[in-house]
Amino acid sequence: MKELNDDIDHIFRDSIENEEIFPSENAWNTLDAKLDKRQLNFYKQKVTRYRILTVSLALLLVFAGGYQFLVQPTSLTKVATSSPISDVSPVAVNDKNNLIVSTSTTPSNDQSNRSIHTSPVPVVHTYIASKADPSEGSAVSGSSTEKITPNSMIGAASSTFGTSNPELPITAVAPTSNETASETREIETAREAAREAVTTTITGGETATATTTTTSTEAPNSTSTSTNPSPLPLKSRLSFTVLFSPEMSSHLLTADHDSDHDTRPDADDDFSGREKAAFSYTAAVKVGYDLNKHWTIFSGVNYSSYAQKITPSVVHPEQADDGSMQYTLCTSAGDASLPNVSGHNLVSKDSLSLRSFSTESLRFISVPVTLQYNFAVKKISFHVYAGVSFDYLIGQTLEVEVPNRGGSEQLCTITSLDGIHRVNMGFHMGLGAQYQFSKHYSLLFDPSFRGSLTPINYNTEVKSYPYAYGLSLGLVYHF
Amino acid sequence: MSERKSSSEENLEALIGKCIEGERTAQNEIYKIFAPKMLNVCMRYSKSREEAEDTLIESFLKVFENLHKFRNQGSLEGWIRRIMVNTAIEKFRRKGLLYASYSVDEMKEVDFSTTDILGDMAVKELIQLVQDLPSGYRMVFNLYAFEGLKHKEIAERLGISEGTSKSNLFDARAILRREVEKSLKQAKASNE
Repeated sequence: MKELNDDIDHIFRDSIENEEIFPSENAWNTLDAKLDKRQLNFYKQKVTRYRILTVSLALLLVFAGGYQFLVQPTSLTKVATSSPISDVSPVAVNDKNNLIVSTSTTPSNDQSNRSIHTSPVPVVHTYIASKADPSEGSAVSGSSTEKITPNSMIGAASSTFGTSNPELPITAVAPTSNETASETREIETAREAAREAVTTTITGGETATATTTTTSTEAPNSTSTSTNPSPLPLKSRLSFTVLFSPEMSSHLLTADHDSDHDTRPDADDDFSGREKAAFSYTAAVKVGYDLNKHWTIFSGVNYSSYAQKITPSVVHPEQADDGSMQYTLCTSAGDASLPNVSGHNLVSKDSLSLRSFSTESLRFISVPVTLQYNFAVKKISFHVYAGVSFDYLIGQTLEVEVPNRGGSEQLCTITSLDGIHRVNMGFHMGLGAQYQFSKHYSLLFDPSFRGSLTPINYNTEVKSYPYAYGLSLGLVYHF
Repeated sequence: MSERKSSSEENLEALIGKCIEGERTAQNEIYKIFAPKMLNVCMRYSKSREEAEDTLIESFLKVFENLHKFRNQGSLEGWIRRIMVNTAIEKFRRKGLLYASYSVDEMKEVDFSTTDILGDMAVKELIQLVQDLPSGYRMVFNLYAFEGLKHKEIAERLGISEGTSKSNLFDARAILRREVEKSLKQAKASNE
């Protein structure tokens, strides 16, 4: 019997194995078209990657910029407040963002009639030593022997005004008319001014004689008595927002060729065809901090869901980890084992036809960090924002109507999907408007877009990046 | 001879290089070289020619996508063939088709002389017989008889038990013997 069996194997193997069967012309054409499509998808994926990279870089730059606003030059402020004003020259910013350096040739005890432009913006008022260099036309005298280090000076200048505007002009403002000599000049950059200033050691009694004209961009009568403008209190910069955003969500899919899972070449198309966008939402509470008039940084907690509808299909049993056979519904997010409501022991050849749409929902708690740029800040103001979030999956639900033995459908809720990450990273962006209807309250309208930067699943046929677009409606309380 | 061989190997390597770069004409060349042999493999694992061509196309897509992983250490033909077989197994597992619709009890006692077969049956007919097997039997028979896998390996690859694999092979052989005999009898009758 064994020989007979071996013979039949042999006969078929020897007869068939070396035969060549020529495929139809159509086969190559189909393959050619599919190769084109794959190539297109490859480029699409590349573009998507570049987009993500670009968004990430943009966010990084924005956050780096925001960080500069957040960092206050505390050490220099200390210097300023501890130093007598006569020892060093004051620096301020006028309302056109010009850095004002006031120099004095009068004795240091003459403080009463010193005048400088003051700034309406809440900058930390710092003081830098000015330069006594007649050859450059500046005229300075002072009695201070205090030295300020170059780094702290440069740091102070750039921190106060932000590094985003290195070309900030500096205007030297003439002291009051009773001074014997004065000079006002434009210095090209704040950095340069600071550097020049600190290289000079001010010696007591030195008097410059150059005569200069005030060239400030401000009108002469705009000068006022110098005071150190104090920053707004922390409380007034804070806001608290609650919002709700109805959304439609879907999943961006790319084939996962690195997966151990058997990956079909057209798996992403297959899933895309079977899965439809569905209603989702985000509810959020967040705290905002105004970095300045235009920039606000937010953080808080979001509760959000990504939902999608899955079209009816035929499912087959697969062996579960415990060895039992269970019907498996494959989704782009992960595979779900359906309960066996038929009461039969399942075997591989069985199949089950699902007749209704299934609904899959992934729920996340996220901690977002958002930077917002406000413009046209009036009763109705507008803004654009972008940010990243750290998303933690707190629940997954797949609602499937499974036909039972009697032929009717039984709603089953599956709360576990194989191959889904707990933690991933997301992004969000949008633009919108805010209507301030009372001293403390504003209404918020934000068309928004959010999505996942990292795939939410692993070791599955496709990598899934859920995304959602919607309209956020919120209430803002300004402290 | 060895020079010619090395030059053909060089040509193949050049073709592979161009394929990796995505050159369509080179991909077409590779396809022309290997498609006839591979369609034979796919035919054995499929129910019909259409299904076999689908498997062939799907497999070649994988071949071109993963060609950069081929390290020229074995034969390209063997590597492509493995992809064809894996794709066929994948499709089989996806569909979960392990039919057992044939009753084979009556065939166990058939007196069957294999030596008569070779000259009398066309290859096409033999392939057709394999194609007509229920898919579970067909998979096990192919993996055992053509790929030389053991029952344990077959069970792992197909996600079935070893016992099912043995039983499917037994039944597949019985069916093939019965069908071959039937064909031979028909052929003899028509000759007479």
